[in-house]
Amino acid sequence: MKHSEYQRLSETDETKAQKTLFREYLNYVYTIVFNRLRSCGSREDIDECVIDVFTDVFASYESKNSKSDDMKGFIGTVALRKAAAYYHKLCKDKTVALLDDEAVSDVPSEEDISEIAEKSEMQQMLLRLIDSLGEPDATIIIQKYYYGRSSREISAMVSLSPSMVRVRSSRALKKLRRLLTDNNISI
Amino acid sequence: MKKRFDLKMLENADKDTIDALSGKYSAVSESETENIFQRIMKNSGTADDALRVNGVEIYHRPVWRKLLTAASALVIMGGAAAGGIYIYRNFGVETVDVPTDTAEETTAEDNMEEETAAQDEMEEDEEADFMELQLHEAPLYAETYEDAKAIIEEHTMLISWVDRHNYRIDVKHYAELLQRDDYDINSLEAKSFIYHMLRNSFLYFDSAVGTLSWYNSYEGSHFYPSAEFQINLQDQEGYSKCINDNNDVYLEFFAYDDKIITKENFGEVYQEETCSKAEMIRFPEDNYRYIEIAPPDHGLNECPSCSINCAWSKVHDQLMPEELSLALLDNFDNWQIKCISEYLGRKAVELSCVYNDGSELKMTVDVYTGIMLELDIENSDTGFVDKRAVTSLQVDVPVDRVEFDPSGLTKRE
Repeated sequence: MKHSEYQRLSETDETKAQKTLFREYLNYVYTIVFNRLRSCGSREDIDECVIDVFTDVFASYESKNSKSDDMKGFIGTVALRKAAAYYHKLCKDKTVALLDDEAVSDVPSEEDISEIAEKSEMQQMLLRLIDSLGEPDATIIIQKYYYGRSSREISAMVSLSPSMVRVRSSRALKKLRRLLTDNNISI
Repeated sequence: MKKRFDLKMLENADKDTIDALSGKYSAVSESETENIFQRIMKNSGTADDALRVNGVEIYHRPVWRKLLTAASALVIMGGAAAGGIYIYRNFGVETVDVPTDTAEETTAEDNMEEETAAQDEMEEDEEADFMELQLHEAPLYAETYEDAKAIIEEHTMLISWVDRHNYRIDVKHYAELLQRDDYDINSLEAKSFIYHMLRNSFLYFDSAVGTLSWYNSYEGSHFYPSAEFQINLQDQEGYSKCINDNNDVYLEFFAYDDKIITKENFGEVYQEETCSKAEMIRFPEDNYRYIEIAPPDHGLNECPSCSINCAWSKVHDQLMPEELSLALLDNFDNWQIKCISEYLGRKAVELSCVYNDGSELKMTVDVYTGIMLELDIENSDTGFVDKRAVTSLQVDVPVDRVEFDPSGLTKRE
């Protein structure tokens, strides 16, 4: 969706425009927020942060002072900043900080940059290995071991019984562990 | 308990990883989607200017949420301390420092609700360390041996023998269910559990030491020989000796170092067979171990424990009655669980069955290991009798290897 489309739609039906935008970007926003708050926020915290992101996005588009057509970039930035702010409030004892956090003012050193690049490469590799399990195993692994969903919840997503999800998950995990070992990735 | 696998490595990802994750995997379910949208709509009508984008964040969170989060944290941490349960997600575990709150009263009901939710989540996590019990289904049918093989293959994992414990179901849960007054001990679930235990007993113990006796008849005479056995299942080693009614040890079996040695004491001979230790075993799902096939093949049975060396087939059948139970109990319409009882001080179930040919079966199964404690099959029409019983048993105790001494014996080629 482009900003101009959103504006046209909102002139006739604002709620419909908001719902369309929400549906298109919810997964993206939720992924960003979850990714940041996973270790220290509750589900409730994550939901609230996501709600705040969309509330801000709608409010911002309402003001009509806009805006480039790149809605994804704008929404992503709002989500990152909001998640970073929640992170600092919820997890103030944590020491890990990211470069895109507003609170980090120092210019990163070369070592930081190479560490970040290495981490990013590992994450991409991990996702590729998970993808290589094929479906529905990749989805089961991500939903279970990243999003923390139960077999019952996952069963609705992959159209399998909860018991089948559990069996497949166990097999897929074994396979993934082997792939990780083969690629020298330790989790 | 081993550390739970966790994809924590994906946290704090860069844009490309986020794009890949969000592009392929749903972070939110359909029901959550609707709920979040309703809350945004509710919010946007009263949105504070301070909440607008790029500003300093001020959060308004009702106080009850803070208290509930703390309550759930306590419940989870209490549970973890009491049961040593590994809590795999961090959600709600840490004390959360929540910013500015508006006043709203906490009710006991709210706390209860959250506690229950936390308890559920804990149970879910605890449960997640076990395999799911497969409810028993009638055997699948294949036209050819190759088709049957392909079906089994599709549902088979190759697992490491020493890590086989990872494939256990939650025995404690089902054992407790069986003992509840309001539980139907002949439900499909209950019978599937007992059948699973019989066919997977090798998952549930590492060593066993005991004695067994059985019925034998020869030219009209009846005998009750006995045997002492010890097996170290983890290392696939064992020793058994058979004792006749006169207390003579007439047969001994040794298994270690990839060999099975049978020593016949009366004949002073011994025989040696090679039997390699299985480092990995093929482990099909319960409902995919036996596939019926059209004649002449009749059926294909994949038996994970059959290649395991424990020195003597009689001990093997008693401790790992996988094939026996397939033959005797695969048709669930034939048998019932009569009662829960105690046998040699162990929790057991008693099964009974009458077959079409008039044979009557009674079997006692150890609930926590699946070891067949007692088997009794009799047919009054044909005079067939098969009786065998474990007469003493200790499981998971240290076992010292008994080595074979060939002095004075002749090797049979």
